[in-house]
Amino acid sequence: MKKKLLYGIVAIIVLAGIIMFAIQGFNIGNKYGSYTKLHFYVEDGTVNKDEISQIVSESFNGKEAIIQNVEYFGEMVLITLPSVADEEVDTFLGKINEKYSLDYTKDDLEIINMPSLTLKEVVSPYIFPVCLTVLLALIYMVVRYRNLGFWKVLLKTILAIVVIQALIFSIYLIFNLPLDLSIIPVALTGLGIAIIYEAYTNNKNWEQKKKEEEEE
Amino acid sequence: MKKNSTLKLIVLIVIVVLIALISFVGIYKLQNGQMVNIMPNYNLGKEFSGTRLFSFIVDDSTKEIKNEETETEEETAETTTVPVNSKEVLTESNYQLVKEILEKRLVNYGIIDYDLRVDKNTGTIALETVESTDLDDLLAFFISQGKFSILDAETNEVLLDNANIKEAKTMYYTNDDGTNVYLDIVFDEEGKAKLEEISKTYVETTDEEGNSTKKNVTIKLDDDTVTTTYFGQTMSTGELPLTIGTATTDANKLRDYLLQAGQIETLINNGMYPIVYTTDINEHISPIVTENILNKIVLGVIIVVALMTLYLIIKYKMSGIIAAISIVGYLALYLIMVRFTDTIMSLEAFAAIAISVIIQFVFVKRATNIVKEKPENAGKEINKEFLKSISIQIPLYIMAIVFVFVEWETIKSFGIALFWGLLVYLAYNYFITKPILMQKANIISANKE
Repeated sequence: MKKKLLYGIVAIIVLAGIIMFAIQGFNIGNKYGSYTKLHFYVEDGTVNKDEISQIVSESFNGKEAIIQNVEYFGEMVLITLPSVADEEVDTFLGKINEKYSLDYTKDDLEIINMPSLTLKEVVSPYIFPVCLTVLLALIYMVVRYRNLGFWKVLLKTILAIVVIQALIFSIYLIFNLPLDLSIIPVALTGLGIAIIYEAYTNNKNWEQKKKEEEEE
Repeated sequence: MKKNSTLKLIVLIVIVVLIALISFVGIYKLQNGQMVNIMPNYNLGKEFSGTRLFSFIVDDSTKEIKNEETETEEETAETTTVPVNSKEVLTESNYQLVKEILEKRLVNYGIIDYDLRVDKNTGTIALETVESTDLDDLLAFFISQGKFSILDAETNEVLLDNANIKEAKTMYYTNDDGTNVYLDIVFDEEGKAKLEEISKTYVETTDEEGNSTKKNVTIKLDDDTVTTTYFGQTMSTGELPLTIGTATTDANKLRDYLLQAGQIETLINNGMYPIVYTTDINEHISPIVTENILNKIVLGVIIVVALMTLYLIIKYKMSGIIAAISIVGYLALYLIMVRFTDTIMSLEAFAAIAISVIIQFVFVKRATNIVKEKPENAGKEINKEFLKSISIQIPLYIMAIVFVFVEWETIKSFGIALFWGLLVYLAYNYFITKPILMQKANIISANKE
């Protein structure tokens, strides 16, 4: 009963994730999506990140922005945003010029515009190690727990990995979380947990079966 | 029996507390009038330690070239100003090619985590990578075109270039003068023939009156002259050795020469940029994970571990306290290992630590359950449980070992952290958790009797 309830909840989450994917797709964060980087420099070192954050939020309509210090002297910040329009940069320039009594133009901001990474670029470093790990883990499982049935162990393990990853991505979709710094650690944890969970389940079933066979 | 077990239990708990103190507080020593923690620092990943941002732009400067038709004795050579990059080379496919070559160079230079993008309209390249002091030395190699050429020293006629190079190899040999490091340029069949011809032409000759004349070649890397020389012998093997340096006893010097040769080797072997680039931005960027966020992550870890220990204490009472101490000890020893083994503490490493702590919790919980349920048989049962847990974890060992060998920091750091987590699991549980819980089981058994 408990298991059925759990499977039901997982199915609902994954279904909701699929629906959200169809409606809005993934929220690609700055790490993988296209970005605009703007440098903002004040000679006397009076850059206040909170103030800048406020101006950035107003100028770029609340777009997710990362503000980092450049070098070690507190004179410059790097603002990373999803691709922004020229008009938004103009608004930003207007606001910082007013706030800091400057006369900056776009050239002073050293703007870098970059396209998003392709799916191939993002996943290619992970394909080989993840596939090799899964393959070797599957070989171990089907050999170690062979008396549970080759196909049963194989398919259940693959299913566990797929379901946990689907669950992770569904949660990102449902809550519109950006695919950013957190996604790789979370996905790798998911992979590790899925593998160990399935090994644990197989081991439990294997012991049970062995016990039954001994009793017979 | 009970007294003996209690004493052993106390000793083991003291050991665990000591491990925890060393890990979480440190070992302090008086150095230059100050108390300094002598434990190695954590090797933080780029999210915590900051990055270097480079922006490379297409060189829009001009250069002057000699007009060939005016180079006569009567006329002075005239020059024409031309762009360094002609319009024809500024194409999307060439920008992409530069990116691909740079990617190969980064891998060869041991840079295993980077974000490299190219703007296909302007050719601007943005490279963000883990901060390192080596980057300043490598910058020249990032933007170097990788153009290798042998020219006539007088006329600047190109005699051989990248088109005929098969590969470059870093080599060295040792003789009485010391160790000679050189770069061996290996040419293809056409290049081999050309080199042989050049080595016969560009030599030192002596006329009948004994006057010697040298006909030199200039070897260039990009527009920098590596050397101007003549050939002392015919190069018929298709290989051109270029001496980088000779070191007698200085190991550091030798290492520098080898490094230098390796860097040029990488440049030549990975192909030549069709476009000349220049550096626009080279700056250190502060970590994306600020101290505030890091504190929140650490607090999260503390809360999770606290909840685990609380659960054990509530469920198993006195045995639970011992189990909780054991979990804290595991985490402490694990973190000591992480400090001493250069494990890069990235977010992925945190994920691996989380997995390791979870499996440790599961084992300790099951072992404590054995102590509670079957104290008289605890030794044998805990041993069985321990071996079973190892057999279950084998897929994780596979994962850790595969990931350790991947030259991509996010995966590698996860693999290394997981590997040490599993290794500490083996050692710590064998030498600490198992004996601790067995002593507790002995005390429970003695009390029952």
